[in-house]
Amino acid sequence: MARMKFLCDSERCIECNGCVTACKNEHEVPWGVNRRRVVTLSDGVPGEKSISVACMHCSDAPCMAVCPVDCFYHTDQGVVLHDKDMCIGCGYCFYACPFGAPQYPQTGTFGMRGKMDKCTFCAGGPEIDHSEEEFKKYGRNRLAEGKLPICAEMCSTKALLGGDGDVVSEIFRERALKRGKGADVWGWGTAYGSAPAQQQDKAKEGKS
Amino acid sequence: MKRILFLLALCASLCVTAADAPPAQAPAAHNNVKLWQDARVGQPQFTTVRGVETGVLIQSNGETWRELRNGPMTLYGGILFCVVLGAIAVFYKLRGAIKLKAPMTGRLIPRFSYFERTVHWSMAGSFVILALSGLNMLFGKHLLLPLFGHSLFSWLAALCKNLHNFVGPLFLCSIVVAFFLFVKDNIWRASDWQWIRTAGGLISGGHVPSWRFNFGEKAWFWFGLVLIGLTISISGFVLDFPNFEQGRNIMQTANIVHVVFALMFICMSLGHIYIGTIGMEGALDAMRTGYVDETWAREHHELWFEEQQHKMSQPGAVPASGAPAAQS
Amino acid sequence: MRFFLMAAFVLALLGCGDRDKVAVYKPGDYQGKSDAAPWNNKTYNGDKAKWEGDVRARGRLQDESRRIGG
Repeated sequence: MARMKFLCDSERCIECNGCVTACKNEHEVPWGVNRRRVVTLSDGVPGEKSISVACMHCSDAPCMAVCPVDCFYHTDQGVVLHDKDMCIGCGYCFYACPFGAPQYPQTGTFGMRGKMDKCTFCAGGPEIDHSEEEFKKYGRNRLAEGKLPICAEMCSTKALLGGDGDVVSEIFRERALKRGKGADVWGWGTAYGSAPAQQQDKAKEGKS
Repeated sequence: MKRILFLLALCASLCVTAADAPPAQAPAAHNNVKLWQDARVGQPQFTTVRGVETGVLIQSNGETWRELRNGPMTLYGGILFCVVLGAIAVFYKLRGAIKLKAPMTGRLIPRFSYFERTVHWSMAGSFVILALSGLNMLFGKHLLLPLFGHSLFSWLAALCKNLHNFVGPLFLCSIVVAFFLFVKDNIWRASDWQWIRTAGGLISGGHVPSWRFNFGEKAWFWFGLVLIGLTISISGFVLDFPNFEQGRNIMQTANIVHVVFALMFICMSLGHIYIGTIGMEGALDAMRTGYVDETWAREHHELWFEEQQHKMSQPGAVPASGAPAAQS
Repeated sequence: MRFFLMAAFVLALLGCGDRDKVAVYKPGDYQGKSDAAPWNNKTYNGDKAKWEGDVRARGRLQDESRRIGG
């Protein structure tokens, strides 16, 4: 059983924003909605790192936990999707999400939120696959075409990897072994866990 | 030539040592731990994507908000609500409605003007809408969703959310007007001590003279309307108008404050609604018609009653216009 | 009042029947809402194995070292 994951290799991301553009183009998202963005840490300082971030499709998804209408669901593949017909635009998922994934097209008066929009892992939504409604609401359903998210597939440096967790981690493991460094990857460990013990030891040495 | 080369070598070595000198430039470890630890702090970094807080890679406080909202706020809020409802029911069962002791005289004296009643009921109406729609946001998922199913419940929730967002500002307007309207009668008077000492005679049934508003009403005014009303309005406005580009931190805090104070407000209002309707004979008439019977006034607001009587007996005193002439 | 109390009581009771909605993902455990699996469409005709194979192959395409034979 596939478990879909994104993984961004900070050693490789060159901040070209190709993934951001590809995503906008593929799904024709409304103006002001950014399903994916590239953040550069320590910009302009030696050791700067860029990370492409979108919905991380969490196993214990905060958005899902706080949604007052319970409009989120996990697919078989662990992709977090939501039903826009149910969404009331309250903004709770936006408060809860650590990655700033939920987006709102601000169409209403006083910045009133519309229906939430977020990265779907190119898996569409609850509408019938490849239907016009599905495309309008959620964008293209590439997963149902046997393809992977456009952002990862078109990444020029292959910094952003997406797909079955086993495959992705295998690719990354081989890569990290080959180059012998830079296993500090934008993935679940960074996002959720503390740094591994080995790294923390190094940090202490660096400080003393 | 040799000398020049030597100088160059010296310069180069100096450069190297100079470069090595600051600890920040120490040979970077393969894993830049500091960088990743900082990423969790939530400081904005560089990004080309325009928008509010798009530069923040990880905003960790949302997890705290989630834990608080889904945990203690929902659980203890629900318990508090049920306990207060139960307490009122028990009180009603034991004490019953507070009846008038003497028979009604049929003579009416004005208590609330038309304007005061309008303000009160617009405040009350918007409060009830806000309270019900707000409760639905917090508890609806657990109470109504299993009953209604997803489609119908989301329809209801959307209605509630929009009502909440638009009625909220109306509520603030009405409490501001109500504040100026009622503040002069809610100032501390010496007779309030007696009310506090005897708990208003609520349990004993004893008589406590008071001015236009007794201490219970004053507490509701200062704690409910002023303190909680303002807190809830300010925090509500932070949430209602996301177009001022406020960040998630302030919205999470505002939401917690909003929910906690709203639950307190709703619980207090249950007491107010109870005593204003079934809990006390004749109390609702005061706010419905604007007039109270002399007996009611004497038994509940004696000092105020005497003051009114004194005013009426003054030469040239005109009864308030629109007063229903001698009710049957 | 009695109606109100009864309604509150019924609602409070309903709360006890509440299912946990925080869906912590368990592999292969589909939670809730109606959405067709990605292999249930014209392209795959419900052939789950073929879909999984395709997606896996597609995923391996991201490994440029394998692609260029490095």
